[in-house]
Amino acid sequence: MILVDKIGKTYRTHRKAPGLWGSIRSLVTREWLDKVAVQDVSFKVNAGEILGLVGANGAGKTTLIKMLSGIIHPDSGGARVLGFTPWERGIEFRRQISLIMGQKAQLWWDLPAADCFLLLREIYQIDGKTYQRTLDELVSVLDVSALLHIPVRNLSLGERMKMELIAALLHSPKVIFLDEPTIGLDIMAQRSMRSFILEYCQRHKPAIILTSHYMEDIEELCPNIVILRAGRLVYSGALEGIRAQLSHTKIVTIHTDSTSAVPNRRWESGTLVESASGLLRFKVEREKLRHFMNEVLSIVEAHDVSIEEADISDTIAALMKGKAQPV
Amino acid sequence: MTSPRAVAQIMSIELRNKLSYRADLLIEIGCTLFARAYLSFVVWQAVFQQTGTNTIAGYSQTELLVYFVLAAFIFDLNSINLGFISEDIYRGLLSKYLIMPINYQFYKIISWLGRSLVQFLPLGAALILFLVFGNSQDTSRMTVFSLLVGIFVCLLGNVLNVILYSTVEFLGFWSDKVWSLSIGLHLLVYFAGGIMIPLGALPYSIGEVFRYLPLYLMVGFPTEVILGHVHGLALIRGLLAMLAWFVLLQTLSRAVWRRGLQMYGGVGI
Ligand SMILES: Nc1ncnc2c1ncn2[C@@H]1O[C@H](COP(=O)(O)OP(=O)(O)OP(=O)(O)O)[C@@H](O)[C@H]1O
Ligand SMILES: [Mg+2]
Repeated sequence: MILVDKIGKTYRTHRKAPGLWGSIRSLVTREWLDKVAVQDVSFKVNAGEILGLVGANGAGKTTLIKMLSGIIHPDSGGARVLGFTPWERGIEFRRQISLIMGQKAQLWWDLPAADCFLLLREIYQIDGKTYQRTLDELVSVLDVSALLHIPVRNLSLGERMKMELIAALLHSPKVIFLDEPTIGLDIMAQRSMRSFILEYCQRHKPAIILTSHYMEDIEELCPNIVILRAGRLVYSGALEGIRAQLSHTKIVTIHTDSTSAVPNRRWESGTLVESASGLLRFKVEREKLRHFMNEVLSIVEAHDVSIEEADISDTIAALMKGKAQPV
Repeated sequence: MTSPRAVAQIMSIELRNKLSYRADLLIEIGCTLFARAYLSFVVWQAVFQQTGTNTIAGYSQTELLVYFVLAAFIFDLNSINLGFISEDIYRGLLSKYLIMPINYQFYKIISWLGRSLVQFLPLGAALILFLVFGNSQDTSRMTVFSLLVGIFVCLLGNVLNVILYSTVEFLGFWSDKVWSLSIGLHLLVYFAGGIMIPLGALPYSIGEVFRYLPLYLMVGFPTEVILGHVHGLALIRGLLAMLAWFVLLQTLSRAVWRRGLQMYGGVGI
């Protein structure tokens, strides 16, 4: 469904020195600034699959989505979406995709959602029966029938996001791009958004690419993830792949007063990952746990000890920041 | 490509949008109409008295008064809000249209026409009034036929106008400051569009050049057609000139669009 092959994008902007003088100077000479946003990224997504796109701010997630939805042209590599080259923007291609941006309203601001939907119905040429059936279904699942006739600008963020969802799904797209669909939503709304996406995907089998800064979104929705760091791909594969690596690692936290002497020590069976006042945190392989506990307790005077599974979001964060090696 | 129903839907939305401010709209139209009629009356009264002529460029005093009001009105009809495309580019709103199966420029033209359709209604009403009550002078040449053809030409001029502006506005892909160009174009139309006075009253050579520029074809030409001063060959020549400009400008704007789209960064998301 979606095939991305060594795609890359460099933005070119002109740089302006701050202040009035800078503005005047920029009239005469323009300094161009090249910004590599995405470089050499490849992956693929099948029908019925949700791929999680993870990365720090500015890592290139939105840029990648803009290329795959045909909004911008890449300057190296290629991609096929539903067999089309996205940035050629064929009508058939556009008829079958959808893009939801959590940060940006796409509906017509002055119109009630119901009018927006009617307009979309004509733009996408959805036949009357299908339109009514899809709309009724979405409206009832998302529980927004009371809000349909209120101008979009008067809706709350969460209410508007539901309308955006409906607008994006009316034409039953085969490929859906979700760029931070849960941003700014409260915890309940995030949960219901997640379960909606999951159910929708199981029922209609579109290919979905989702970005989010909330780990819950990724963990619950995305069996496969791609991690970007400064435009480059650092991990592509199953979320389980990261989890499996972690399953034989434990995190040991020791509460103690005597942290000062510890950091310099070479530990035989574990690695110190964090040392704060009154607290030491170690990463330990499961088989060495007993040995490690003996070692650490003989040296440190502990008030309290806790042993936990390593957290997947920590590992992903480490990959995003570049502290960990690609798995 | 776009279904007639989609076109109707887009137009009706713009129409409703515009109508939701109908009180403002009526006041605005009423006031400007009155102010212009008064101004024009005073000016022409003075001119005709001073010079002692009966006609200027084939227009009687009453006709010139109507000419000025009508031309100014059509000029308004053609006044695009500055940045109607470049703003979309600058703020990244264009992205939302790019992923829809619709031609963006076409969408813009349709919604523009939907908006100006509201203004056609009072125009039609005023002209019919003039036709019925103001036509007693033997000099007036306006007829029902010239009125209908004229309004049609006016509509064509409107389309030509949107295409002209969108070509300029597409330069927004390269520069943030396209509005200054749009203002320039606006002033140019004011200058060479035959708004104050029919082209025939200008020095012959200048008038003949302006006659074939889109600026005049959009404003002065429909005005003269409505008033019954353009017939037969002149009418056909004008329409052909419009067609030629239409083809030329549309080709140009498509080219600019295609180049520009490659530069587009989809800012704001
Ligand atoms: N239109 C643009 N022109 C110039 N540079 C841009 C443009 N859009 C993005 N960039 C730059 O490209 C890089 C990648 O941006 P992108 O929006 O893809 O990041 P992201 O991963 O979506 O980040 P976030 O999580 O903050 O949304 C950033 O460094 C940004 O400054
Ligand atoms: Mg982003």
